[in-house]
Amino acid sequence: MTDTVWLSPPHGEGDPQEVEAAPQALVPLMIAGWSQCLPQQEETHVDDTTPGTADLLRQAEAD
Amino acid sequence: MSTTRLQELQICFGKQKQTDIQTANTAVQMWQLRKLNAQLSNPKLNTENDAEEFGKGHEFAVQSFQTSWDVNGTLEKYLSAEIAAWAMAFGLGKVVKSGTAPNFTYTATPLIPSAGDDAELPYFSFVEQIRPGAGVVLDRMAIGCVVEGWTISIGSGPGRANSKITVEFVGSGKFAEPSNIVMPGATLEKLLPSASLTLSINGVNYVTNKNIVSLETAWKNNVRADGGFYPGSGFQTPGDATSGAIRGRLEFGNRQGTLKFVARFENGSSELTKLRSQTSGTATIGLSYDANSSLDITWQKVSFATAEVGETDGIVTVSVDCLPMWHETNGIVSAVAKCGIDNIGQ
Repeated sequence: MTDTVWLSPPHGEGDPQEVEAAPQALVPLMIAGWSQCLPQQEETHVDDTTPGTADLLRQAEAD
Repeated sequence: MSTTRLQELQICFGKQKQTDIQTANTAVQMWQLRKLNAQLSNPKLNTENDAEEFGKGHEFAVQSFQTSWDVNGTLEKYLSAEIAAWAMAFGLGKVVKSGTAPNFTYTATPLIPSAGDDAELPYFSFVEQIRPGAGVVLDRMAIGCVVEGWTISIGSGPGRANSKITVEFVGSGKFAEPSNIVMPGATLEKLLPSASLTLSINGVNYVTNKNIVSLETAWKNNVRADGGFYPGSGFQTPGDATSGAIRGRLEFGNRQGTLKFVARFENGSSELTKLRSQTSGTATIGLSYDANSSLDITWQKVSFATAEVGETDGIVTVSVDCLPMWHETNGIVSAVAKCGIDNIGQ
């Protein structure tokens, strides 16, 4: 498995990126102002089309 | 009275960076390493007096004043993977850590302010102790130090002295005495011997052709020491204007990279031709202990500034001074240091 690191863009503008931890990939980005940051959480999408538990309870109370 | 010998001197310093110039490293952020040179990092108090002032009726001083503090020092060491990683991280200023134990990899480049990087170098604390505790001889900590520069020297011969590093550092002037640091156990270092060298400069592999004699490469930050004393930079004792001013920042000045080498000169040697044609290319320097402990320095673009034919021990050699230049994509220099110690420069 390839080792990766997370880098944040210069001036804090833009989203962090996961980059292969190899000098060929890292050095140009570091020179361009990218800096190491904490690994970012993978995005979790909320499915709001299916009623959740709270919605079902509200529905029961209404009945 | 028991004589104090300098062999008793122990040093430790921040392998991790301080959070800011005034906040000292804690003991767990430090490591103890050995060194070769006897120099101590004596805090120096600068004073002024009123001899030049009119109104006293004579030209002699009647009063003196504590004005400011200086701290600086030098570490001379046999080159190891651990000190190499530290010197690259703190000396160049920007580092990315990857890998896991025992193979932590530190990729370091210089800070580039035009790309949004800071102009202040990472700070560390430096502790010197001789018999700390009840029978203390020396126990102090310089706080807010930065690496002024490093020099790596590789020579020919069998001993450890053929692979050395010298690191110069300067401090904010702030210090703590006693340090209140419990010296951590000594770090076991993995030496990077001269015999492990790999070297390619401007298209020539100087190890394969067995021609390299010696090599020196260096980085100097030319730290703006006086610029650290700005209005409001602070005092040795916070709030006490009589305790002497300390620096509130340490920024690099016009930085300089150096690469020079001596190689055997023979039929087909291309150094003089490349000097005349100003051919440019990369210079890669590699030293290793094993797969987990190594140092690779790449000067991204060099040409030859001077090349002079001479002799070394009766053998015709050429002495070359390289000019490190800016590469549009990769900058001036990068270093990849591997070792088993976590959190260097973090």
